[in-house]
Amino acid sequence: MTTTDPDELRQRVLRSPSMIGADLASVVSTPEAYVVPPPAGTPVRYRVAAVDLGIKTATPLAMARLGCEVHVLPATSTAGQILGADPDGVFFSNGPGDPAACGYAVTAMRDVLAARVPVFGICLGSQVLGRALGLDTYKLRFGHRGVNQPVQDQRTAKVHITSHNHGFAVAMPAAGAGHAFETDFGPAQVTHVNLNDGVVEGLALADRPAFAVQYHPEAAPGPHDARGLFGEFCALMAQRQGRGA
Amino acid sequence: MTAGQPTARPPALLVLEDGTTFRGTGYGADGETFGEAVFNTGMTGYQETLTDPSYCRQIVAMTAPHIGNTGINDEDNESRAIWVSGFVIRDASPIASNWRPAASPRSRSPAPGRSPCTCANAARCGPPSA
Repeated sequence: MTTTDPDELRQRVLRSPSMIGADLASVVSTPEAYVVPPPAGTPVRYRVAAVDLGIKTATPLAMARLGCEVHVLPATSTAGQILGADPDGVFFSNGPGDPAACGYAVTAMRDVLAARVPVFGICLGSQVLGRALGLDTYKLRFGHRGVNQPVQDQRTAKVHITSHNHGFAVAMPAAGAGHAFETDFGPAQVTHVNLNDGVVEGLALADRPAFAVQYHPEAAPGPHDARGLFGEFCALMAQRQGRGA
Repeated sequence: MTAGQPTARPPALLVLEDGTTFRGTGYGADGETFGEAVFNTGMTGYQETLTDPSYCRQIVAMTAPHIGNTGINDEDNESRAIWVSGFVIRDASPIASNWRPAASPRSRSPAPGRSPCTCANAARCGPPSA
């Protein structure tokens, strides 16, 4: 029988686990690998290994529509398993929990970056890229959850209205947004910031085909300003295939 | 259109860690649930929010005041389950209407072994006690 005494309930709330330090990606991830093929009539142009840290149905579908055969893999897959099918690119998905508790994904990300395979990350995948590049992550006071968050690309000054769902964020490097900082994988930069509060919303390596955004280009209810990011990922995979963008 | 059945629902309590307490009406599964209380400010997309794995172990308060009016359809689930630990809404629509076949959100039970989706028509009922 559930109590209705607010004081007793509050004691239970205080005893419940914190989001800080929580590894939830491995809880929600698919237990078995599966494949999302392109829709009928669309030829397979790219093979993508997608690490499911809490992936949304809309994400593999968005890639499949562009000719990707998406191999969705469990969260704790190693780089050896991720690269085993010789993918043209590797995707790290959104997901719940604290990125600092996803060491397995950070290790896999570092090994994939070392292999110079094209990488695209969304949300938790972006935080995993940040940690793989040596940046810290932290919990936001309230987080960003909604569909009207203004994000500016530091390279073009262009603003997209974007869908967000994140309680953690990548710490801004000392170089600041739009400026190169050194990583184990060469220079990188914060490519996107949130115009409401200056939070890091995107990262890219300069000399390797890897980038990630904290927001949701796949968001089915919209906005769809950022849909083109899937095309940018495909262009990186086309370059690797030697077919040009 | 699908008319909701007007049934008696149990009272619901939402208690925050600072002692702030909200009272409302249970909607969906009955029971007790814990999670990080967060806001979602989207005016659309409640079905995607319910089924987005990124909301695992979170109790989502929707700032859009009217939820359920476009029902739940077979195309917009973002995963195989409802992942939110709880869902706090101001006004649960008794009627669902959609150009696609759609059911009322209340008719959807969480998958076996998943957290119950407890929704409350919450109203604040007092200042923080701590």
